[in-house]
Amino acid sequence: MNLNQLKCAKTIQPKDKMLKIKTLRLMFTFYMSFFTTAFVLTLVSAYMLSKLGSEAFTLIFWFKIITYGIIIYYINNYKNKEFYYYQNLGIPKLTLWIGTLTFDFLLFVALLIYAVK
Amino acid sequence: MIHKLEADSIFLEFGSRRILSDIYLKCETGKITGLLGRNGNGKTCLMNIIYGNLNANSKSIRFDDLTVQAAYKRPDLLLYLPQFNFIPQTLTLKRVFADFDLDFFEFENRFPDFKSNYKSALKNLSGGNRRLVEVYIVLKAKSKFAMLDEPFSHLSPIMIEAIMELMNEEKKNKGLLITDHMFRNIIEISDSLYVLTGGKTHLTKAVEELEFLGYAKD
Repeated sequence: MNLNQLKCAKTIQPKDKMLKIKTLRLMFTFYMSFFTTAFVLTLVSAYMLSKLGSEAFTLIFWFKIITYGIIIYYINNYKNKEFYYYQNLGIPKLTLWIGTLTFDFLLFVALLIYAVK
Repeated sequence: MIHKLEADSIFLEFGSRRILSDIYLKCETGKITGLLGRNGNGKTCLMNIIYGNLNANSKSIRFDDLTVQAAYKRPDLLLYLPQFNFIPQTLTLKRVFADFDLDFFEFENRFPDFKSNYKSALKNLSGGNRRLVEVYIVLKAKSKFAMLDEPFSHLSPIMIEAIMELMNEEKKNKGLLITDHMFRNIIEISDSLYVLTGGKTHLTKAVEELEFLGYAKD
């Protein structure tokens, strides 16, 4: 890497970092639009698992998946205008859903493991 | 540097109903391109096709002669103001301006009514003020082109005047494509004007043509 390339890398890096922080902040904002519902459903799932035992895992898993379907349907129909905000900032609809639902599912799994223990 | 946005070969049908069939539209840096058309003639559909949000049967959208299928993934190329409020109402002006890397104080100097609103959420603003913020954001944010669907809706005459002044300033930096039912404002501000009728765009050279194309009475 020559000196010019090094200078370039130094100037680009903070910009990239800022962009990543901004993207995460925007995804967090989007996540907040359905967080309460999703978290309550996760807590209900964890409670059900702790009461019914690990045999109920399949039932609880599909319960969560179906509620995801309802959440996606609701947001896509009633809050669809807000997607233009994220698109104007370079974040497509699919990226928003994949990012936030992945995080929420990991949270769901973590709380289920905690409930079983 | 002058950039060019071109849209053509657009064909759109909903079932057996043909919406768009013979489109050519060009937008350039330094120019405001107006698009007029009666309700239901497909202006918003055309904008959504250009933005990539609506799938057409066929289309060709080019930025500086390069085809871009999904312009919504490229805010550096194109920003879009839809005809409805699109900024989440819970966000504050401070947050919105930070997201788009814009200086709130420049906005405040131009529109002093917003002086005490820096930390206000959009839901606490009036409909007109909310729209003004959205139009300002799309006009000022860094991009080569901006498409504005009904930018004058809900705005008072003073606000419209201020926005038209801002458009004339911003056209030096980006190409603007605008449509609105307040056609006198569109005619006044446009450097080139298209009328969408019968699924086709017509580049008009004289205001009298609007009557001929069935858009307005003289």
